[in-house]
Amino acid sequence: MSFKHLLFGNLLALAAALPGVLSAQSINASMNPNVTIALAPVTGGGVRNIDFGTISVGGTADTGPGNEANTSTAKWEFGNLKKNETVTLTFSLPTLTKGSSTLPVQWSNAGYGSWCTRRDPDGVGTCGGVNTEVGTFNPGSGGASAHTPTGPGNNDRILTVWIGAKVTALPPNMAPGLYSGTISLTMTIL
Amino acid sequence: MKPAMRMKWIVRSALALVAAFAMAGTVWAVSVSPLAIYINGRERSAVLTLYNDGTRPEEIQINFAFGYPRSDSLGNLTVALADTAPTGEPSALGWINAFPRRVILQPGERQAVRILVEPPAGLAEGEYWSRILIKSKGGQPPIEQRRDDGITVRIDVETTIAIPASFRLGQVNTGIAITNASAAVRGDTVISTVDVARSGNAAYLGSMTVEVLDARGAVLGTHQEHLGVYHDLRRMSAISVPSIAGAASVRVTIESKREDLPPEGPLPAATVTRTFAISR
Repeated sequence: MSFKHLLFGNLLALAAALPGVLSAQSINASMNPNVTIALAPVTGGGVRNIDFGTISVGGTADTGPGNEANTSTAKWEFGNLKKNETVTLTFSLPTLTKGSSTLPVQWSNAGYGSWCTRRDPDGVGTCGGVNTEVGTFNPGSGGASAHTPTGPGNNDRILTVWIGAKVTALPPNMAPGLYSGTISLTMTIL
Repeated sequence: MKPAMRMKWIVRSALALVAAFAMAGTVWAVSVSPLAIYINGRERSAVLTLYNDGTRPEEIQINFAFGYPRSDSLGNLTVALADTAPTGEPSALGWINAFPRRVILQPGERQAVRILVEPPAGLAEGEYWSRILIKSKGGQPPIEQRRDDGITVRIDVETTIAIPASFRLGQVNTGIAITNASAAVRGDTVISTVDVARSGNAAYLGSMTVEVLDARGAVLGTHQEHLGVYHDLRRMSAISVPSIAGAASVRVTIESKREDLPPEGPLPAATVTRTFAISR
């Protein structure tokens, strides 16, 4: 039996073993003359919105620095990255306005952005320890670059990104209504 | 790539794909495959696969931009994405397109997006660059924080995954040269600075290994990273070494291999190595 037939057989066996998984994927194998198999994807997106809690007139709000323990901060997560991968992270941070009235959000805070990459084949691990790299940045500075750790395994690196912010004192004469905006993160493969 | 190597790569990719989608307990929004698109002058199209592995419907938009990795004097990397390319840059913007450009994927649903190029007549041989921007919302429903006096705050998050998309016309070639290299000790860490410049008419895609050596050539510490050199680049690495007193030199090796990219991505190029002393 040729190697190609063995490969095809193994793929079929895997497909049979994981019907709920593979039926939704784009594995498309034609053995001759070319083999075409969808590549391991990068996957990810926004996990959590930023949460300032209740802000009273004249009061302030502070999510605190973005990190794994702080659930008030915005969070993104990307998976299936390779080891030794470098990606850049850039942010578009909104001004929250309603008409001519602006909600005073302060995005530029040293250490309020952070990232963590880790080897996590089970998808249940946390940052810290071996096979982890971390970095902090100021979200107002535009962004950062992150690097995935080396070590065993390959398609199992996870990148998590957090950013926090502050709301300075709300003026008592602020116009009532909805102040909304969108934090946009661009993760770029080099 | 030789057939045996290609097959080995395919097996690895297939198993990785199965493992990736079989991961339990992990829910993300949008999957994108492959991580880069390379289109040649004969086929003039490629397929990008999107998949919603989240738990909510995802609206996904496909756009294009121009940008490539640049570095500052400290080796910090940025990729400035712009709607237009600077004059003189080999840009594919304006004649690269995607169909469809907007999709809504239900959880578990996938969509093939065809990337097409229609280069202008008389285009010179070479490689032309762009970035595909895959934008999605996702996560959880927006939090609305209400105050008693009628002020409501709502901040959403959205995500764009930007992957390279290159069109190669005719003969393309690339190469890499180390134009400057130095290393210094800071505490128990060796800080290496490596400047590289690309040759040829296509981007250099490869990997760089930085090794700290002792006086006998034994490796004390290593750093590895992927490279995408479109013109030139400065990279800095910090390698922590337990026996810093014994660190004597740094060896840098750059080779045209990238495990994260499709096999047709990195163009063949000679491996480059340089060893240089650590200054103290």
